[in-house]
Amino acid sequence: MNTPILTVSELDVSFTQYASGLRTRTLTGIAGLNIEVREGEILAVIGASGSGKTLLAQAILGILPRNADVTGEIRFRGERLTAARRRRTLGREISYIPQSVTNLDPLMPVGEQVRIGLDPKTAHQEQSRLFARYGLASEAARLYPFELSGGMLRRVLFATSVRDTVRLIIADEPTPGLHAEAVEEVLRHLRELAADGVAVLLITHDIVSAVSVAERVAVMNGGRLITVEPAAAFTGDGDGLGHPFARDLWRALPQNRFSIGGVEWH
Amino acid sequence: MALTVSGLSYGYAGGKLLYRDASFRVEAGAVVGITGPSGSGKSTLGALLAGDLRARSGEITIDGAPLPRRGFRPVQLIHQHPERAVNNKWRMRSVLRESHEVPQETLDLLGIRSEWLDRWPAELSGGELQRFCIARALHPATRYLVADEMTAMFDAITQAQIWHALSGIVRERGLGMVVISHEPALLDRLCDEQIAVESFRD
Repeated sequence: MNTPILTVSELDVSFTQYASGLRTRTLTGIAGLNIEVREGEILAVIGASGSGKTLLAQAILGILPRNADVTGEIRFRGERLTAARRRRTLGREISYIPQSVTNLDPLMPVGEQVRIGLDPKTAHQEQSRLFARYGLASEAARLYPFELSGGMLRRVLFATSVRDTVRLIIADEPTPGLHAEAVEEVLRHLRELAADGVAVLLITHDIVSAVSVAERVAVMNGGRLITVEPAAAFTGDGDGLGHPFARDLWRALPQNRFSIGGVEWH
Repeated sequence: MALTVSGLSYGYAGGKLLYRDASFRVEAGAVVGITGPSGSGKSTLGALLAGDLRARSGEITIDGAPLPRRGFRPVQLIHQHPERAVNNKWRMRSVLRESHEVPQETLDLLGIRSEWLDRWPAELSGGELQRFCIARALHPATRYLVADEMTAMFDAITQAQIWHALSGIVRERGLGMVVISHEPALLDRLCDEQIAVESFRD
């Protein structure tokens, strides 16, 4: 239960941009970030847009834009995650559930997309099992993404990411724009995966979802990890939260105070 | 003084009617919430109110007169995705000026910094861009606003900042506002009255 699956130490991500002519400027994306996700644990990472949440996912997966500079260390199951190791583990042991259903291939039937990376001998059988697990009709396998609703496409995204060999899942904003029942379904699927021993890194700006599903909640702002709070502290007026920024974030919710850093609503 | 919908029916070609004989009013100075699951026709209703879509039957009037078919639209729609609502080949200064010379006071209230004016849309965050879209919609001739999932993509602090600023302006100008959202807690905070779009189905 307590084996660390993902360990990120002193991660820095910066970008070099051309300002004018040949003069360049460096923008900081992430600075000095340390984080650990253990077996069977859901760690939520919350923060404003631009806080560096998605960059963290991209750095782990090795899919940052080319002008990015990365220093620090990322370890997966105790060993350094190098480019060669990523090639062996991505899609097998490390899986990614992207933010948008537009990440599906619009020109490929969804069943075929779910079969990518599966053992060809058992791919059809395994795909049927995944479809059943995520409540997708078997006939839907022949359909193209445009023929399915947004909620069904979310389930297809899950089916493409879940493999028996997966030890770490990175889910980037899997819930915005979904109505309450659909959000609950996504969270239930994440809980099931964690119960199977998968380590889940859930990146989201939806604090309520994060708190309902994770044990610990990491709060980012301006590229820095501000604090890691127990999910149980996000309750009532947030007095149990250690860091003032976490309290501000919690109290800004409309169901709480709807305040901004001490300025009350009305 | 009200935005009045009477006997409105609308459906997309080949689909079922989204609303049948829907009627409601938004008084000037009032905030009305529209709720409903995704796909139930909330955004379509917003586009009809703003005059982006035309109803086949029924009537939408503003302070007694039908929505103008040309010229400035007194009902302004603010969308969920600001990055899709601005011209990405224009600097922000031009994006603003497309509407009117926005007074400095409005820019200050919305927290728009002067250095953002020279940036391209891609160089601003979603929350920053949305403030421009709001400023642009606050033309002196605007009477009603329709906020369609205006802050659904933002974190709690950005959401609260935007609503604090906009609510103050709306109250001061006596504008009417329709808030479309799937978040009950947000609607409870903002609205004087809430209408479920499903209630228009039959």
